Amino acid sequence: MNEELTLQELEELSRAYLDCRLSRAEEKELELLLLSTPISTPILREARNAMGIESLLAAVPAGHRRRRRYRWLLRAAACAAILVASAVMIHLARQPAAGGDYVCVVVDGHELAVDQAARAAAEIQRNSMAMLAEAMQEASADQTASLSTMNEIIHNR
Amino acid sequence: MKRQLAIIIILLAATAAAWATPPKLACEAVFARKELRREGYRLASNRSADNYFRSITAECDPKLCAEIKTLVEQDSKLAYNVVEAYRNGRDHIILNIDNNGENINVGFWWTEEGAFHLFIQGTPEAFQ
Repeated sequence: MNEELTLQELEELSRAYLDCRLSRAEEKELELLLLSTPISTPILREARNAMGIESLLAAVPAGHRRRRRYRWLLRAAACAAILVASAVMIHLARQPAAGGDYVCVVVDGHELAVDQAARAAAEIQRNSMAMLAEAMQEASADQTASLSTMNEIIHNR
Repeated sequence: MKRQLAIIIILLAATAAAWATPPKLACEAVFARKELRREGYRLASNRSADNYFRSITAECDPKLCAEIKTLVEQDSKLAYNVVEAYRNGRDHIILNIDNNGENINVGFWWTEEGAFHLFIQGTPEAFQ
């Protein structure tokens, strides 16, 4: 089927389609033709309706049809770009701040010198972590002892 | 199309922000107080590539002590492990908080007189 058909020829083919005078292959080709042309007349609309493609064309302006094919690609590319940008931003935000270590100790309103502060901060942290470890160990030991006592009582009954 | 793209961007930004933001510890706000740089208080900050530590120690401040206790109790809701104990004349609260696989330790002890020590410790990633 020639793509350079006149309107009259298109209408004639559409009539033939509606009268079931076309072969399967010709029907398919006409369907493609009617999908690709923006021309609309009552008989062409009727044929499109019969083919079930009228609603497709109504939803898509003719000039946008070609672009629509690539929209999914555009969306996927936009999503990928956003994901990559987010990942990079999160990665950068999670990097330790440039400039390295920072130590500051203020006692009774006076800031200690850097060397003193480093020693004091290390000691304060050591003591704090020791307190944390002792408290947790004692709690764990108490729990174990309590469960053991409970088991003994249950066992002796 | 534009609206769909805007929705996608907002959703992604919100997800990224929620993922990147560490748990906001209520007790961490205490360290920002300038008025604690005075007699009777000791503030320590020790940050390096693999360590983040901040502490405050007070000789006697029952009011602030009660305030911090409330804040630590708020933070205990975020903790996967909470230890409360009384030992050597001091009450203790220890919290272990998880942030995306990184551990944050919070320790707080206090006496009846209002002396106290509060610290937070973890890897820098846990606070970023």
